[in-house]
Amino acid sequence: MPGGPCKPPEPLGRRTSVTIHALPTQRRSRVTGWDADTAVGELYAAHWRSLVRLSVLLVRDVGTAEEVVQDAFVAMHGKWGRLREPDKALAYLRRAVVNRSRSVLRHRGVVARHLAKEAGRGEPTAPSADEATMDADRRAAVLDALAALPRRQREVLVLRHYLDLSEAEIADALSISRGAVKSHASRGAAALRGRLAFLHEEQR
Amino acid sequence: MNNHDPGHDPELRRLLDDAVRDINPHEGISAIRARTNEKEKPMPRRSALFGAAGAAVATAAVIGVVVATGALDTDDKDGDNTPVATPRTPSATVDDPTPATSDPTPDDPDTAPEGHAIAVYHLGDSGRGPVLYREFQRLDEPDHGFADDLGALMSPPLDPDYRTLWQPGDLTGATLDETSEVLRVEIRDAAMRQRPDGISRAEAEASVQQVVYTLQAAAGERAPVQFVLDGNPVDQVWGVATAEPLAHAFEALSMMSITTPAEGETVSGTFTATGVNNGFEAWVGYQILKDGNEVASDFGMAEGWAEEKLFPWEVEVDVSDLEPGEYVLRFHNDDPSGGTEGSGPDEDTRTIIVE
Repeated sequence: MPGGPCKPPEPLGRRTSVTIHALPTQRRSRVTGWDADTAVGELYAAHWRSLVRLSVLLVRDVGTAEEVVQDAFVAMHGKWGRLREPDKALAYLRRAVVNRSRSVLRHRGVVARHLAKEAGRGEPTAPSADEATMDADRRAAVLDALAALPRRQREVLVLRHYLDLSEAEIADALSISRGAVKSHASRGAAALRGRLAFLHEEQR
Repeated sequence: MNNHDPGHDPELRRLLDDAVRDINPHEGISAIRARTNEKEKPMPRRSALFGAAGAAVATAAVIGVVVATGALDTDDKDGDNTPVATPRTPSATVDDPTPATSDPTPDDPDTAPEGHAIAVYHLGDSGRGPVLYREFQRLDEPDHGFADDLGALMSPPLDPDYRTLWQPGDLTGATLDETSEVLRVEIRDAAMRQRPDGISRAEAEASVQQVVYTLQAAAGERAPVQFVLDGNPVDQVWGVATAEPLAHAFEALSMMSITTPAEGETVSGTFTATGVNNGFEAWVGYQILKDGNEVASDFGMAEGWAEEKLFPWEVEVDVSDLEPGEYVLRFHNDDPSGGTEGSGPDEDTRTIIVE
């Protein structure tokens, strides 16, 4: 039987027809000795905030991002039997966050709704005397500019510059060629610079 | 701001970091724990049967499978997948970001990411008759296990040079029996035992191998494939003997298959094409054709040849001298006979847009 020594099962509720010790999520990592529950706890502690931020860059909406990352953790818990190592699990979480962010964007129209809301408010570019407001405006402008990019460009830029993934890692994560990564990265960067040019002028 | 190397842009990095610096999410571990504890209630059987009568099969790009809760895929034995969660709602649809079933495949994120590319085999022509080409399709949907692969198998391929003879609904579900290490695929009805009019014997044989290769790719292992009807082995499918589990047949494959670029992909400058082949001395040739005339050609090398497997290759393709427009990229194996014997080398083509 694969896996480590049997661990007394967690209460499982109603079902009884299951061989408890075969549950894959009870498998322990050879590297860390973590089981799936421990892995979720450890990775949550270390990466919850940064993963939610990653998703916010993609979906713009914090509540949605939190749901996306929760889903990713639940999925990771289920796959722990395969992953078993923290760095693999983190790579998996990131990929799951990107993919799920994309799904919710497609299906919920998060960006569209947000942009519609923003449009009602007018350009979020008015300079403000108040520093906190200026920070908030700048952040909103960056998120809006990201949201306005084509999906692939947004994903590549965020993976490249927020997660610091290499071109090869991005190609792998998005299942596109390295050439496509290059092309999306350069076009996305140019588009973002164009949209955010005013930030520059304010800073200089 | 003048730095146009996307690899090093501290400015963008700073902007992105800053943009979410003030995001401090709510606590989420309680909700995660609640859901992972719920997940530990395994379902009674592992199965990726989907939808009633194949009604759920859509095109590959828009697979939205309504999964009956009672037939969810679980993995209660070897279990590198989790026993799958009961969806939070009675059915999981495209609007639900939670995967309704987990894919009973290797879940190494390098090969089977969530939401993800799947490898599906389709028929194409070669000098030696119909052969199988591997095509990667991206599904922007949660993972529905084998349902995704079967759905793609029964839907038109991305590359118009390929085809599939399976109709939606022909193959109604697939499972991997991890005790016997056999992949089981359910066919629609007994009428499928006979070869339909208009399908040649060679096409029928290739189509059966198409199912074998696609399911093996999905499962991540070379398990033999048993066609079943109402759960029992069926003696033949489209006139091809299927009473016993079928192994993959290497000769069913095209010996040249392009992985990237995808059909219709836009390219520029120099890009890396990838694929697999098995050709004389590991040679990998390409031509770029405009209206059937060669405008560029070069070659590269695969990682090997001669054994009974396909070897990966990567070849840099330079299109920087080409006028923008549509071209055909043709990769082909060497033909040591110079075309004087045999059926000519296997090849694969993609339409590319040079910009």
